[in-house]
Amino acid sequence: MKFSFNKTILYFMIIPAFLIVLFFSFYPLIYNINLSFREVNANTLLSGEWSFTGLSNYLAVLKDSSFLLILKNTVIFVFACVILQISVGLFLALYFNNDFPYKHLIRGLFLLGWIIPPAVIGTIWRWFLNYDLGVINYFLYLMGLKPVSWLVSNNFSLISVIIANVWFNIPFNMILFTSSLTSIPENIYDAAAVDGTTYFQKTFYITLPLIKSTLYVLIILNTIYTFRSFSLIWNMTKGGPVYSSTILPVWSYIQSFNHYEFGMATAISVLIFFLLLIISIIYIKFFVRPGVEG
Amino acid sequence: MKKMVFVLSILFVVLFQTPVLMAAEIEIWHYFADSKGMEFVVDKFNEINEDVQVKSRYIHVSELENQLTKALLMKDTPDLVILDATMIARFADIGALADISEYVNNSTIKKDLFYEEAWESGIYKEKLYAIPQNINTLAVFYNKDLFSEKNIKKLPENWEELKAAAKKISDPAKKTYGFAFSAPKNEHLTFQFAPFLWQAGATFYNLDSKKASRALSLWQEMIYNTYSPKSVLNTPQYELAINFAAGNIGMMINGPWAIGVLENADINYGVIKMPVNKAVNKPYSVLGGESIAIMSGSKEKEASWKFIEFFMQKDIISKWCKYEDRISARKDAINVKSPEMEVFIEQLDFAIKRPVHPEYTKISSAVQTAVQSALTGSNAEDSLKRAQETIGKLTK
Repeated sequence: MKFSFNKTILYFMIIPAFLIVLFFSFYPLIYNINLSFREVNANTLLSGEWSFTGLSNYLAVLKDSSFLLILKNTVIFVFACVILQISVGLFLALYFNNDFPYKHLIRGLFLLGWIIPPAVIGTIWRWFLNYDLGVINYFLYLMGLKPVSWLVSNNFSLISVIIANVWFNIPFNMILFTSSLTSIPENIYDAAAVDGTTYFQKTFYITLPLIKSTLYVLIILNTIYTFRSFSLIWNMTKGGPVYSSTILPVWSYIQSFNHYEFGMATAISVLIFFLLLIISIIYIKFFVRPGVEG
Repeated sequence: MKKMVFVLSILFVVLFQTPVLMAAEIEIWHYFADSKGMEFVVDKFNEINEDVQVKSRYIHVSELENQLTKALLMKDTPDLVILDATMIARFADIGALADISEYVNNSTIKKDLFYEEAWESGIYKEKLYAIPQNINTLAVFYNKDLFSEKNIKKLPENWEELKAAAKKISDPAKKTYGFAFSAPKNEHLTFQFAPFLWQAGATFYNLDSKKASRALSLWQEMIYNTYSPKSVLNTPQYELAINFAAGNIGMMINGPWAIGVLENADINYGVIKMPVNKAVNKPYSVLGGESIAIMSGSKEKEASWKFIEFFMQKDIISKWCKYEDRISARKDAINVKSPEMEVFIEQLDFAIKRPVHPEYTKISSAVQTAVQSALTGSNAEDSLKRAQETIGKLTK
């Protein structure tokens, strides 16, 4: 019996998903953009008179004395995290691609980092990096090195949250790379073995090119996800000392829930949205090639 | 037919009148976790009053204000709320709280029953919006073993002696510090810094003065000379107590809640009043605590006031404080058991409230930024000047 779908039915079938996206993603987005153009703070919130103030919230954000520092922190944080997360995740995936005893058990243990909620991870790392009582400084001491003020110096606080965030996100990348690696057909390696390739040649000329699509997807996913990190940083340093570990989403939280400046907070959120939009557009233009696997 | 209509209309009338015969129900929000005290007060009140029934709702301390704001937006608020005294001005300013000045005039709950600073923290623009419920303050805890080990006979009474004692005890190689406080990027920092600001003779509104710089310089000296661990910049008060309990800190600034932590630890400690700055010569400390207020949107304001009156009766608030291990804001209801708590009661006479201002969180944030900047290398005066600029704009 012929079973054909006519186009209308297909359109109907996406309505539920479409409605969910509409109410839970699109509406809040529009609402946020609306608030960012209005004066909404502790005083005006309840009266409902959110007067239209044009771009003044955005100007307030850009003119804020901490803005450049926070933007710089965000860029450094995202760059460092994405590069480290992906490379270490890839390395681990390649490593676990080989067979050795207890491989699955050990790989499973690596996953623990991802199962723990980011807020808990922030707290754990806060203790690891404690100057006097932390494990990390203890190891430095054992190695004869000077202890580092990880969380309380303006120079190291950002590095500390980067370390914790990378640790948290490595398993996610490792798993996705692993699944991609296992989809490479065995006979390609067999053919290479016939030609007499070394391990490095195999990795760089066969394996990596074949997981290129996964790599590109992970780059953009990691970037977007990391750009929006909040709980981990909040629990580790609260963005301190003095905004040295604050990134844009953390700043948005501080503005809304500490200062009740909802206009500024939504302006920051919209700024994040546009930055990510630009990054996504660049990604699609350069990395997604139609036709070829991509 | 006519009989049926008659019977039905009687039924309708009865049904519509019944709600009036039922008790008025009022709801109170608070953030006291696992509170036997709240249970006690609410149950007792409900027992005694048949026409008013109270329902208590616990919300986690970090969420209470947000939930309250949401409730205000949806115009569906509780009748009563117990919140941190520094939040009163904010909510009063946006019209969220009911003016209870009249109720107090005709009541036994009067101003002179309470600590003056606590009472005043509930007054905004000359109207009374909240009754202080429980209060606390900060004092100096000292490690008796470390003091005797280093042969410090006299307990520090002024800044010089404080620094000297801290210097004697500090031994960074052994991870021992003479003095510790709590300075993370949140209200704990402002709470801890305020006493020193006032001891120096400065206020929240003249941070650009030499006196304010002196207060911040004291903390800077403690950090730069390693009398205090740098981790104070990331340690909330409760954690500070836990660190103190480990035995490596000579003195810490903390509140009565620390006593519970230290009781379970093997540590020989004492409590003394805040030190004085000789120029001002007063052991000022900061006032903390919670107050109880009626929401302006409440439809049962009379009943809510009845609950407040009941709660603040001498024996009721006294028993509540016993359950919760807190200090009553009502002076005659204070029931103190230990010598450590005695010191806190004495300290309360010198406890000053933080600014009563709707934008207090921004003022506090400016102070936090200034202090953290100075403790991570910036110049104290410049940091405070910047804070004063921000605060100046808020209080114009």
